[in-house]
Amino acid sequence: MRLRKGFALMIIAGVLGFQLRVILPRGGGTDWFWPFINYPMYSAAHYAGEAVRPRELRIVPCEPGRPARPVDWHLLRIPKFRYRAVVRTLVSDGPRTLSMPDTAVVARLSRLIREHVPGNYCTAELWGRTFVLPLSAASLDPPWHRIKSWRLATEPAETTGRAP
Amino acid sequence: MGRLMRRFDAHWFAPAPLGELAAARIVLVGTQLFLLLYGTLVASLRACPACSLDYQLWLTGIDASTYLPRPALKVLLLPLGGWGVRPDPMFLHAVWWTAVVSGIGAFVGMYTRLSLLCFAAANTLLIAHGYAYHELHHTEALLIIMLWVLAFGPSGRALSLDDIRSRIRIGLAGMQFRARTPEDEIDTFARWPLRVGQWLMVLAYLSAALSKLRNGGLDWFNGETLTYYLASDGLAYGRPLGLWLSGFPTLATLLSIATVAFEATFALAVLVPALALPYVLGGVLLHLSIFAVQGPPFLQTTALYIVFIGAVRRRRAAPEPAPEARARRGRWTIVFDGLCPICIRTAVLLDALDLRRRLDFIDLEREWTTAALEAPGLTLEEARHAMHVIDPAGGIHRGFFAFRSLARALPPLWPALPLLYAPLAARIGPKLYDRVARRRRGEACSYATCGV
Repeated sequence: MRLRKGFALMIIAGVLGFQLRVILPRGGGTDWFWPFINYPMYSAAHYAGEAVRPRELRIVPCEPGRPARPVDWHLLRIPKFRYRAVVRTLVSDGPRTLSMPDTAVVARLSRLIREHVPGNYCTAELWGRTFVLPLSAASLDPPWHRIKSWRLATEPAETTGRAP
Repeated sequence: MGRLMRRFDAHWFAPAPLGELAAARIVLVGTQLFLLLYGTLVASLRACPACSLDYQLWLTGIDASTYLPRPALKVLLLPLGGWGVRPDPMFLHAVWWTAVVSGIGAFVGMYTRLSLLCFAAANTLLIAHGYAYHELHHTEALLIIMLWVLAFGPSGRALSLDDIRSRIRIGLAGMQFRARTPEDEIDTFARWPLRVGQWLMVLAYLSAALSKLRNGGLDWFNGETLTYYLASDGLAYGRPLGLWLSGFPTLATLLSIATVAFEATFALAVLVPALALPYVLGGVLLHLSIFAVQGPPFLQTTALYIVFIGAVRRRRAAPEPAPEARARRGRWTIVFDGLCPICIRTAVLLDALDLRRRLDFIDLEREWTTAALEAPGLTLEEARHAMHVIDPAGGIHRGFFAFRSLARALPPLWPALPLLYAPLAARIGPKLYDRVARRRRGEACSYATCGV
């Protein structure tokens, strides 16, 4: 009985000790000890006037009249964090962008699209829209605008435009 | 000091029902098993992308430069060929199947400890591999820890095939069936795994509250913060309700205060048993609301509230009824042949399925006087030929019809009711029963041969 209790106490102390360590300000802040992790999601403050900017990468078929197709990280077979970094680099509007020139990012993205998306696509486009907080009924559906587009057929890719 | 130690000991090791720990095993293993199977066979789930075998295989195809395993994964992969090795598709296939097979074992309680250990290890490996490519989410972490904790507690001692097999073995060894008693159902070590789960939840919520206060400060309650998250998640996950709510900063301020107050004071759910139920309901509501208006699924965290089953059950438990009320509530009495192995097995099974404790068992060979009093008119010879059940109204059912009447009284047997009441069942059922009953006479140590 004493041995079993001792064993149980060892597990209790180990599990809760580890969990406590990762949530403390000095011991925590790391996910290295997963599944022992801290929970800082949604903890930054935000203010009126800030904007939420969804982005969407689309590819346009070469045949005129056919609709553009949205492309995501899964389709391109790259991790989500890398896809987001690519998009941030293309619009240069956030932290954790890729440390490579714009043209190199475009070239890499073009190669991924050609490799992993079957079909005949000629142009890639990055689209976005902006929601300014607080939202009202009138601001719930802002228009999409094209941020950037480039041709897929040639390599190295060439940038054909950039929206502000 | 001694008093403090006693309180500490009672907090972790006061005898608790084994059934509560077993229920936690079933719910938590069942949740993870569902995620594995649904995520692979139907569609990938945001609650656990790494549970999907397709996703695991997809990960092996992406650029190796992004592979960044954490220690949990490195340790589990050590036998595969070294520190930091990357798993290949065939190995991940094997791990996924191991997770499923051991998960079924852990769910039904077959070789429970071994099954749980394999299930915990396989799921830790799969999910850690899913997060070895810079992406990390929090939904699975606590459940994974709890699977390991459950493996070290007596979570297979109730509501499990292991328990049934062990009781059959004991019954056959002594050729005597003994129904479960309240003492059989509690154990000194049934409480601590659930307590660990409770305190893990306290620490996780505390971490969330402290992060908000540390990173956002009082500005986190300005209303605009929550509206920002409602809008950004509402857009990302396609939640119109979240977008709509983001237009009400004052409401968002109130919700922010309520959320942080809930998270920061969650320890009260553990320390003050009377508050467990409101906190459990509040927590489940919180996670369902987040899913409805923002999108992130917290299926595993919601399932984890099962660790409060004891506190909630005792809070909701009705006062013990008076003896006459207890009698009225309806007891079913089973008269069986206690010298027949198949009858002992059946009695153990029925006892295990009797979750509401409504069955009484009378061994006709040892307690015939009691049986004769309970079922006037029933002869010893008739009782030896088939099992008899006396329902709460005093009606006596024999053989197949005894089973059929019991199926109504035992909720785990309700799924069999359509079959038992199907057309022709009343004709075929008794024949099948008699066939089995004749066979059991062959294997049994009968009344006559045992010379009792």
